[in-house]
Amino acid sequence: MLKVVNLECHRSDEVIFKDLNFKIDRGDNLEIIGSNGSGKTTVLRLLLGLIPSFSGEIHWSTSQDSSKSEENYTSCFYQGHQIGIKPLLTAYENLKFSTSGFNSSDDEIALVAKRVGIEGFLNRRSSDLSAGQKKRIAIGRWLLKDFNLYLLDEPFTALDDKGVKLIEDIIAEMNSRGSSFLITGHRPSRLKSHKIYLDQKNER
Amino acid sequence: MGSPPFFYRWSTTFSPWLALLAVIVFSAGLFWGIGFAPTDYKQGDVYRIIYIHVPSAILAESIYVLMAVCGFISMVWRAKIAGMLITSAAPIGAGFTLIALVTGSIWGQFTWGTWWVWDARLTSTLILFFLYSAIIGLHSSIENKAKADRAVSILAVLGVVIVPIIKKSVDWWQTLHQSSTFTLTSSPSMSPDMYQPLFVCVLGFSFLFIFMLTNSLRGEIIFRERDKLWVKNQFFGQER
Amino acid sequence: MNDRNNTLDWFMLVMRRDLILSFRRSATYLTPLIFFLIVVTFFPLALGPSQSLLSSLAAGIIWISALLSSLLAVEGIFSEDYQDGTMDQYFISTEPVFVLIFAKVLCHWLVCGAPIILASIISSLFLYLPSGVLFALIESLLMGTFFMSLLGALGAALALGRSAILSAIIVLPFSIPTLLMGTAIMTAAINQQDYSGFLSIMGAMLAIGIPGLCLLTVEAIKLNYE
Repeated sequence: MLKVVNLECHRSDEVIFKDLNFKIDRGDNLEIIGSNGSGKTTVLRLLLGLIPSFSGEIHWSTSQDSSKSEENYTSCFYQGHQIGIKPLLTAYENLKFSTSGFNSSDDEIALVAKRVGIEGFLNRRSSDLSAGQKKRIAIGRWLLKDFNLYLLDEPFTALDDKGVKLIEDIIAEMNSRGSSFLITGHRPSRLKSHKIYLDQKNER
Repeated sequence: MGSPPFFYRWSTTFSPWLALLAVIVFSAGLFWGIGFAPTDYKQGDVYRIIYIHVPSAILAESIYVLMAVCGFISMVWRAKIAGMLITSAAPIGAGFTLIALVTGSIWGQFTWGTWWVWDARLTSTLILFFLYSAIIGLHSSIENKAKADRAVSILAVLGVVIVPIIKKSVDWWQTLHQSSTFTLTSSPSMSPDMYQPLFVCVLGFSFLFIFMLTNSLRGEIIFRERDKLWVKNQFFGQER
Repeated sequence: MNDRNNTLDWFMLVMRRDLILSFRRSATYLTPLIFFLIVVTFFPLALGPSQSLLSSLAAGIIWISALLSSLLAVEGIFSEDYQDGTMDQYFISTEPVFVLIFAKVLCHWLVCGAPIILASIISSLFLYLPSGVLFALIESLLMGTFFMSLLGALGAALALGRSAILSAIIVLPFSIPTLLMGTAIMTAAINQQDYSGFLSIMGAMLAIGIPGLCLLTVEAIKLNYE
């Protein structure tokens, strides 16, 4: 579905990473692991076209036929480091007014809220919620619409053990429906996934 | 032409000649105009300030047009050198605008007895100065200079659309408030003796501008590309 | 799922969300309003309460105050979306981003411009605006403040994360045609002349400005993604 060949990125004449090769197929997971400043976020933003300057090849293929590559990322969901939860909106509105949620019915949203454990706060302002609860709203957004690929920047931060378990369950469940995940993190998670370590690349 | 190293090497050869040409034409024009052109029978010798005022005013506007063209090129084709050109041209353009305003105001004090008149042309020159200031201000506030170049290009492009509108609307505004009796536009029959040196002055100022622009652009290129290999080779010789 | 009206869906999404957000944060619409009234009040205080003087200056004063306050109001329009990552979603959406930017500016103008126009009606009493020209004032301000919002959005995008005064300096010289056109309309109206010509020029400026300025604004925001 996504194939990356010899990806390389510079920031003011400094190599952030180079020789990055990976491939994601339907239902696959890939973790990019590295310390702060190793360029994890850059990889994601680069794939999405948010950073225009790089060298290397990025092949997307939305169809089953992986030989037909297209240059698009229409069916991607991105969750950045900033998860875009507006404090003045209620949890419900934060779900509804999002990339995935604007076509969802109230029933769907209620169902998703129950799944991620925020059904009790749907009508509370997000400013009253804790960081972990906001994170759960963000997880809810994944479920509102099926995307082919989810690019998640450090989804495990600010979550308790139950939250981590929730993410693991959700990802496994969505893998079986054919969605793939590209995840960044400081340390490897318990997910079934290929893992790429960015730091080692730099030290070489 | 578009690549900075090429421009740098190319300009190294022609820049001294340009300087020579600029100095000759510039001083010839000023000498002729201030020293030898006939005295105006109405204004006396004060009118000679036009040999500075008019070339500066012409340049002030042309430089803005140049910047707008560069802005367009830099936005559409992402040509680095076009962005640097804006950066280098803006302070020079602002300088010429300021000279035009100051000399115009001195001239006004002698001929009309007032430092400032809200005439359409004076007003739009003043606005032009603000436009230059906006560009310089924006550029200096962005640390990443490549990014600053592109930000400034956006402003320059907006300017090319809006400058004619500004000129037009200032004209309307002027006719609407038809109270000032002065008109700058009437230079009914300037004798060739006065006109010819003015032409040379305009030429001289333009050469001076091109020389200043080249020099400033060369500096900008070296500064931006200081970490590139070709700059190191240029200044420290080929490394073994 | 219906994907045909996706762009419209996004437009409505941004509009609805921003409207809700601005109404929950009352400072959004109150601050420009109060700023406008304070600036208007300063003129009689500085120039003296002479009715004839104020009456002749009224249109200009109201216009300058409206211009400044709608410009200041729009200054922070993108910073929240940019900082909390919502802006990323616009650029990933594959929808034409300038439509979404337009939605934001339109919403902002509805929330901030409308109170300013209401306040200008009140200030026309304060400043003894000649009677019979109130309609011209509202007409010209409707378009003028919207144009200022568009221009201000470009300034805000260029000065994203920098000072408010910078975005004002960037934008103010470009707002001169709007100001001159607005005051031309007012002068014509006071002299009981036909001002429809000026009004249509302003309309034309707005018609070009909406797509043009929104596209430039997108370019300006993109600068922060490099």
